[in-house]
Amino acid sequence: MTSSFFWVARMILMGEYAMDQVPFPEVFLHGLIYGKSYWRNVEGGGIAYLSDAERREYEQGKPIPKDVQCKWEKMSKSKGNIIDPLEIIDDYGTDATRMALCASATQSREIDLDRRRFEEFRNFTNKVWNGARFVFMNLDGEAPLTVQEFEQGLNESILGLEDRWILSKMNFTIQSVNDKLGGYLFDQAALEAYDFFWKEFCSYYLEIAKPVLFGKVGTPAERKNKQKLLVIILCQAMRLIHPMAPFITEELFQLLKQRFEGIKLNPSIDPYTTEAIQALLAEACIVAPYPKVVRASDLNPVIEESFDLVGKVVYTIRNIRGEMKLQPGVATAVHIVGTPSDPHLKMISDHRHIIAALVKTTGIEIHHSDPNLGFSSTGVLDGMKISIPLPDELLQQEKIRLAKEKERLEISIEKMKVQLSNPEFVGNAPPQLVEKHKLQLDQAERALAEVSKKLS
Amino acid sequence: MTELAKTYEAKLVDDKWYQFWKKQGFFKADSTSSKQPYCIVMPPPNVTGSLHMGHALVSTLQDILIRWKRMLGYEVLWMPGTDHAGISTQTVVERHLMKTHGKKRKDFPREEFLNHVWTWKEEKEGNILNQLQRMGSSCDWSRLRFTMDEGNNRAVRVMFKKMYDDGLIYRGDYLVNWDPVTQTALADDEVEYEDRQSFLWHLKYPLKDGSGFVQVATTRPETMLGDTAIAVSPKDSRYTHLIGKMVLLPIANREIPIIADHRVDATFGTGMVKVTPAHDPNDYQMGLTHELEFINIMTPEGNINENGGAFQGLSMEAARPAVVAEMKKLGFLEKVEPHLNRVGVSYRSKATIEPFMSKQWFVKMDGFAKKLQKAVHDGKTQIIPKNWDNTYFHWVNNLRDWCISRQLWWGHRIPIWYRRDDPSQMICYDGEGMPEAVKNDPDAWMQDEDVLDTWFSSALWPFSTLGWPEKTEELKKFYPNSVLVTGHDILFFLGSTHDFDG
Repeated sequence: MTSSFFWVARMILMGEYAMDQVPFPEVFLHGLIYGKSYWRNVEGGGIAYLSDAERREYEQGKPIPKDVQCKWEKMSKSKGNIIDPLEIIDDYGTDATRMALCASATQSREIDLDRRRFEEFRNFTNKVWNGARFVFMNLDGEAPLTVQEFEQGLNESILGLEDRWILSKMNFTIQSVNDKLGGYLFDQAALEAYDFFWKEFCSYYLEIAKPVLFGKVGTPAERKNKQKLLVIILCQAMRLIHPMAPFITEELFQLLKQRFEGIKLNPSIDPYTTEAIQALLAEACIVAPYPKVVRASDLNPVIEESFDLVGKVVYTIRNIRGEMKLQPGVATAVHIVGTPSDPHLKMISDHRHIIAALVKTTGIEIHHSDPNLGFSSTGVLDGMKISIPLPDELLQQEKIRLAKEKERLEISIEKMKVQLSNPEFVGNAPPQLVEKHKLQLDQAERALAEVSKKLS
Repeated sequence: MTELAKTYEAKLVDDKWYQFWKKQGFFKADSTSSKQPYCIVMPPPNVTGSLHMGHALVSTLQDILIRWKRMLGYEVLWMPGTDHAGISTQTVVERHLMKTHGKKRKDFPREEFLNHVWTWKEEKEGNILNQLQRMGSSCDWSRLRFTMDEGNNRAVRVMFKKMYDDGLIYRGDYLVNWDPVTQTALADDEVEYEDRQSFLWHLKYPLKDGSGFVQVATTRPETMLGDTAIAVSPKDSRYTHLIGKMVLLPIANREIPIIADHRVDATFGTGMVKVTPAHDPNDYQMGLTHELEFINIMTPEGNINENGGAFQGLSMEAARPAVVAEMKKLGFLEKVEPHLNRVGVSYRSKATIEPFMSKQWFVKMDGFAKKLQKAVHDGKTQIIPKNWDNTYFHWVNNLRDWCISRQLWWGHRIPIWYRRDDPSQMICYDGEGMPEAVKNDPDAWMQDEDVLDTWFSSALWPFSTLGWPEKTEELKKFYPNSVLVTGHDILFFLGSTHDFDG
């Protein structure tokens, strides 16, 4: 195709002439694909594009030398910036290729593409596989979910915040993906689906659900309910993503169908189970009904707000742990201090089990006034203080470190004192230098006081 | 118990499901269903092409819409097909035959050459179709079309005749973008422009009355052999007194007039230009306005013809230094200065384009311009993203008649027969084979040698693929299509129209 634009006009012309009607009510013009080209300046003027082999090294992360320049340009053989889609399919799979293209299809006139983009979405297809694999393993673990149990539907009266939150998010994502596709906002549709599956479903919901799914927390009824929810969400997500990544979603949909073979629709159960069973009765994902908002009243901003708060607490705790350089496996206590009248504090208190599922902790305590924690790190969130005391083994290490620090400070203070009490130095040295030494002494003494206080 | 492999292997999954979907007939559209229709007609890729990232993107986006709507319960048709891609396919096959047979296209009889192209097409078409399937495209392959299949051939003939009968298609002399290498006329959008370091030659022409000389500046001195006037700007007071005088054109020794025309830029060169109506689009317009003589100095192969006198037989390229040397010898070369020149080249063969007079077929565009503008302006067709509207309107407002004949063999042959002894007698025939009158007296008639621009058949694509001109179920169900998804390759087009605006 050399000039689609002319073609569009010529089709409109012929369509109106022969059929008395324009050939299409809408034309979507996608952007042109740009690849990254790399070159060196050549002596005596001009540039030379790099060989394919060298270019690939930089694309895969090798640092780019100073004499090499690069920029996004329209793909062309002479610039060496072509990416062959068939090679990409071989390397990353068709689904990742399609997802990456969809996620890159903004409505701008230029679409920048490099191999990393495809890698990113290969990671996504892996995530989809692993998320689904977890679901399947759990369904057939020590407390298998039978087809008959699933047919009986959800027990909606015992849904937890996290359950109502993921249903709200799911309905929201379904609405949004449908809207974005309808507006040819392909990139946004892909990213919404991506975020829902990866962030909301895998990173949050599955982590929160694990203690219940493993039977460590909650009742057997809650455990069954969560298993059913996993099926419902997976069944929706596969269909939601299918147009973008048809193969992996068909594979997983068929596995779900197989797992629930012989399933029958029961009247008077919840709409989520009803929808899932209807979908599973379809012959294949490609002809199963596309997700629509299941129950608009479940789109719940209050729940999403509570959950966002929980998310912020988790984020703050993870940050503090990062600053403390705690190993991922180390569990600590978490102390949250706030005023009794703060509704957020109450909310957090009510959902401590969710936080506990998302961070490594030995327990979360709520306080209305500062507890004396000794060695601890603190972060602030909306007027609340979140503190993590240093775990015992680290405490010993810290004490040794502080003792060494104390010794170092004492020696250096002694030296400075000697120097400042020497009248020859004070009399002859430039006044600024003397001042500077006094300041340093002052700082060192204060640091020593701090260290001593911590050690006492 | 369902156990999933530890890692996901796309290779083990992809083809299995594609074959399953196909076998189950999920891609097939039913034109008799009562479901609401949703139809996308695929922009046909070149039949002998290979999948590039642009195809991958456009087929992914279409397939996403198609699968989405199919799951939403629409009766979905994604109509697949390929394009015969006249000039590019023919060029590739010509190159191939040069390698394998050591022969040029015109060394073969037409039929034999076309057989070679058909063989090539049969061999290569599987390639792009397989690649589209690897992308997961859920087209209704049972409806696969080709722009030169029987149905499309008929649609093209019927459309040509309908437009011919309505006076919308005409044959005329025209200055076309001539590619001397492939020996065909190119559409404006098939010409790319390059800046080349060249010169501006200042030539002196003596006034007929012996009162002195005029001096013109030109980037193409060799075309002076076909000059039929000298032009100045009517606002240029330096030359007002010369308007209407005659000049003696050196070498050719012809008398030509000095005219005033608003198209002349008084600030370019000396403000005085030579006018060669048969070899420059701007001069062509002046030639029409002032009813100048159109003297063609070039053969279709790009050599100087008999009108070039002593220079006959030289290529246009070789003629340039030869003409300059002769002018110098005669004392008519005033000076030469460096100049950056914009040169049109064929997007396909990269040959330098020569503006050239020839008999071509055209679609009259003036009647359509308003309709095209209205279609988008009134929102009958919406272009998304919206910011393309202005580009569209600019294009519509700068339309020239559409040159639809191509001096190629691979394509839809123009369905016109001329009487050998009086070519102004023509028969346009939209049936199979030859019209009755020609059958009865075959020696008295000859069919037009040319074929139609590839875009002529692809312009019918949204309805020819659905069975037009027959009144089919498919047309009723799926026309208008729901959306067209395509890329914008328009950047060079803006450059090219500016050139023709003058």
